[in-house]
Amino acid sequence: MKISNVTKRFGGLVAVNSVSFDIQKGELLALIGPNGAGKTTLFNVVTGVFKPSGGKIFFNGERIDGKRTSSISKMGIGRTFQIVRPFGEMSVLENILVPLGKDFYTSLSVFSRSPDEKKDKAMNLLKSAHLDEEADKMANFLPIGMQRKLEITRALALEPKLLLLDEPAAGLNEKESMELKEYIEKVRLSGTSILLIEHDMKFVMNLAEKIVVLDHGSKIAEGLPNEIASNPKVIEAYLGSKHKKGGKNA
Amino acid sequence: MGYLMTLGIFASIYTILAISLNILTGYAGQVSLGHAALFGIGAYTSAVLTVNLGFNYWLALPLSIVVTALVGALLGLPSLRVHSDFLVLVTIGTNFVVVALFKYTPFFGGPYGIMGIPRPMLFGKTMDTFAYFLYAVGWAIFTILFTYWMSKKYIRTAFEAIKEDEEAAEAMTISVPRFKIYAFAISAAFAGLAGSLWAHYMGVIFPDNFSFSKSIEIMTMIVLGGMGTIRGAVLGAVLLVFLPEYLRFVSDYRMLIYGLIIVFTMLFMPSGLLGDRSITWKWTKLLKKGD
Repeated sequence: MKISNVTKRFGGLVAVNSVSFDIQKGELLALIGPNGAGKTTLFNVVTGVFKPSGGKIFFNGERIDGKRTSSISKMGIGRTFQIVRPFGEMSVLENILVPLGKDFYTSLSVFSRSPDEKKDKAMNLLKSAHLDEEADKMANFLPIGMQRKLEITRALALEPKLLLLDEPAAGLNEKESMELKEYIEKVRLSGTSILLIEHDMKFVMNLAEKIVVLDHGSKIAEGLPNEIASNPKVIEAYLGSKHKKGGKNA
Repeated sequence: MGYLMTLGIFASIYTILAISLNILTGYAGQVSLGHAALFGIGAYTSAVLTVNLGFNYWLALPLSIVVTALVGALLGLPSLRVHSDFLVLVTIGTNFVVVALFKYTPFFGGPYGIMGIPRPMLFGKTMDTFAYFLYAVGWAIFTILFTYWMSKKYIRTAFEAIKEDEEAAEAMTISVPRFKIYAFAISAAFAGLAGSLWAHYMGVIFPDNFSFSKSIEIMTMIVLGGMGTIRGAVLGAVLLVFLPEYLRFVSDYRMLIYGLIIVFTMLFMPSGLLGDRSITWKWTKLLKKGD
């Protein structure tokens, strides 16, 4: 995927300011930045929730900016949400059956094909996420760590070429966060490209191959994790310039 | 006996109406308080075609279903822009506009409605009440079977997904506008069928047959029976057709009782009598455990 000079304005506020970067096939790129840096806005532009005010987005050589979310997801971009959004009143199994119908939603075969046909496949996906024992539970009743995993599994059921994860570790405890990391690692090894949004720098340090840093809507750095960690601009964005001054004095 | 048949015919027609609203509201989550408008459009289309334009009943029936489905799809367009409580207001407004159109358009007979709507002929004979009873029950059964079949297909999954979370549904490749329009059109098709059945049984229709209070009545049926289920819609329809006939006070205070049913069901048993998480199933479970 290639993001080229993407800008998003809300009235007078520039939430994303001419940001560009690419994600190579099979790569895990982390998009980090302090709260309010424009990460989720950029994410929503990529997934078609917002139309960009400027710039272009290409996926597999095809322009996707301005398309409907459903068309973009159909092209092979799966996503999760910052605040988990499973289909809460459906069972865990049914949550996975929804994406498995992706070949039917755009034609009249929605009237002839049945989710029952996809049950085995859904169970296998749940097994690989260690969620098979929860299959019949209502999604709302799962602990948040499992809901996250369910959400990622649901996105993976689309067999996406690119997976967008919006702060997947938010609200998780240490143990859940570790488990999730392993799960993301596993997904990456299967060849899916991943764009990971995270404001917790620690979480992405030994996970990402490349990191892009946003601050106040603009890209301030891009590079390998260790380059980013020592980049003074990034430290300033995260800890404020006061710290930098303090550092100089020390 | 004839009276009981008539009630059976009404119960069948209301069963179709309740199931039709259930597809839209129970399955797809689009709350409509203007469903009587679609019922009316079906009835008026069938009446106008047969009385004013001299169409054969067997041509008028499918046409009124198709016309109502198309109008339903059109009325579904606002749902692409407004959500939940605002959509409810739009559907209420639509109901009043449609009734006013019937009332003030001379072509539709104005406030006096349309009279002399013919009873259908079958095998060269005009259907009597008994034949029409079987005919209406047949359509109700067809509606139940069709909806049951549909509820096992991916169309139902798509409806559930947009009911639960539109943004997440879009992320799952489901086009929300497409499936909202499907829900409105399919629901309207059955409302149109019910309207046609009503018109050709009564022989005369008035604009006020299809007023806002009728919409409340249909909504009460699915709320009481249990939103989102076919069995709930059937039970609600049958109960609310037969109860007023046997309990005098129910028919005297009809609207008051409908209002109370909605308020109390929503407060104390939001899944209705037979909904998926209703007290009925909890009680049967408890009884079984007690054994």
